[in-house]
Amino acid sequence: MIRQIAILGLLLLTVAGSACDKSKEFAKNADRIAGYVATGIDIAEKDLPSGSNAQIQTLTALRAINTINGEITAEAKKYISADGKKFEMTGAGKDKILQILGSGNTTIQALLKNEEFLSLPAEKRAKITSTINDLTETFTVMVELVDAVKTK
Amino acid sequence: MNFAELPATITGLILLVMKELLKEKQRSGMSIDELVESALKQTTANEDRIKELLEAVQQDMR
Repeated sequence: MIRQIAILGLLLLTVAGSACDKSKEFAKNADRIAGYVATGIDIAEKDLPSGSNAQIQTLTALRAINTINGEITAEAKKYISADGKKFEMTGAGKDKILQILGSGNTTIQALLKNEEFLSLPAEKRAKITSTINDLTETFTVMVELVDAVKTK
Repeated sequence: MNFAELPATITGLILLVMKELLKEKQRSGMSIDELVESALKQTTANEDRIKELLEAVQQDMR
């Protein structure tokens, strides 16, 4: 509950800030996702049964999300002006980033529906589910940010 | 839900929130370039750790 309130607060700040500085907010969200993946790895390593299918599936999903985040960051970097003040994309660039973000969300949702993952005891699943929810919310904010970016 | 593990789960969640709030404070003082570099650096570190963990699991299975 505390965590959800804190995350909601952060997301509200993100949405409020995005109007004045989309490129910085985009970069912040990419860094947030990288941080959430790192937290997910910690949880998968320490809290999930070692060598279990649930641990392997979680790490594999986190790896896919991590790769996607790297691609998004590298792709978005092309559209941030040298002074970091403008974030303008071509229509094709915007579509490409939205497509990559969509695949990130699909990967996360697939893990949440995975049978091996669902078979974990609730207390083992709680922390990783919380991190996965943060990832989902951050991906959603990124989609909103990219949607709002001007195209050339 | 195993209630015996509930305090540890709650403590774990509070620690996660504190860690994220601290990181968030650091982010607010960073430039765009620093944020992008931080994201890419963390992404590379994440990939290395996942690779290492999955390899360790595979070795245990053999």
